[in-house]
Amino acid sequence: MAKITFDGFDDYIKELTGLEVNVEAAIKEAVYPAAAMVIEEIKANTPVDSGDLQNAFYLKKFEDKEGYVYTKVDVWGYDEKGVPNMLKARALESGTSRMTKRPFIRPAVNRVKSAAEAEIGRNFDQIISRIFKKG
Amino acid sequence: MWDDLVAALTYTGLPFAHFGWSKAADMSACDHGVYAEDNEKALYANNAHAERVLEGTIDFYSREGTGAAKRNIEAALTLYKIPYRLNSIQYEEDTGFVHYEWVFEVLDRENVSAPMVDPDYEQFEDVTEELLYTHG
Repeated sequence: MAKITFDGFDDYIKELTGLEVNVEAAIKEAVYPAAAMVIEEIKANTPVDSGDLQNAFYLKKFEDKEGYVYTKVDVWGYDEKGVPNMLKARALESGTSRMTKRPFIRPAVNRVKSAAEAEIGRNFDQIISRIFKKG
Repeated sequence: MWDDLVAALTYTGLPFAHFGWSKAADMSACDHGVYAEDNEKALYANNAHAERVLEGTIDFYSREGTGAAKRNIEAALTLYKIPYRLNSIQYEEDTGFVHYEWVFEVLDRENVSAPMVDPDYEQFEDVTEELLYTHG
């Protein structure tokens, strides 16, 4: 649904790769709280009618594609009238020729992006310092 | 700048409404577009906006099948140096419109603070020099 890419963490990954740790687990631990921040901001910015759409956002299971570990914000289910929540989210975000758009995902991501990036950096720092303490 | 965006859309010669989905509905018989700003990206300093960028979308609804309007709009945005990305292309089955959506950004110079002149700046500089002198 929403593809949000955070860059600039290569140095952390290199540092972790040099150590004998589970890099994938470390990345998940660092990224998950930030992804949760993003989804909470999106939910807070979602236009509320019945509340079905607000509750339809969730984080997909982390995947590892050729060393690129990621999660996605996705939408599931149907509202009480049987309309897919994904369709509602898309119609609200982009509008149609007959319906005014009410963008709520992109503005929410813009607002929270810096804070989420900072959170990932902080988490990586904590993970790396924890690993060094153990060693 | 905002004026550049308006000029770019005017340059296309296509009918556009600002925030006017109701006006757009009146135009629904023909190809038409709507543009609207919806959020900002800002750099804050001294408790004020130092730089501000307005982000928004341009939506164009077209039944013309060659994509000429799309190319026309993108060429105008490029000509007027408006950063944009094509966010989605959707087909509306009920109306037959192809819906193009671009996200644009424009620099907003009107609502930012005056160039930063900090009245304490000189004093701060003096203190720094003093510290440098004291601590080598």
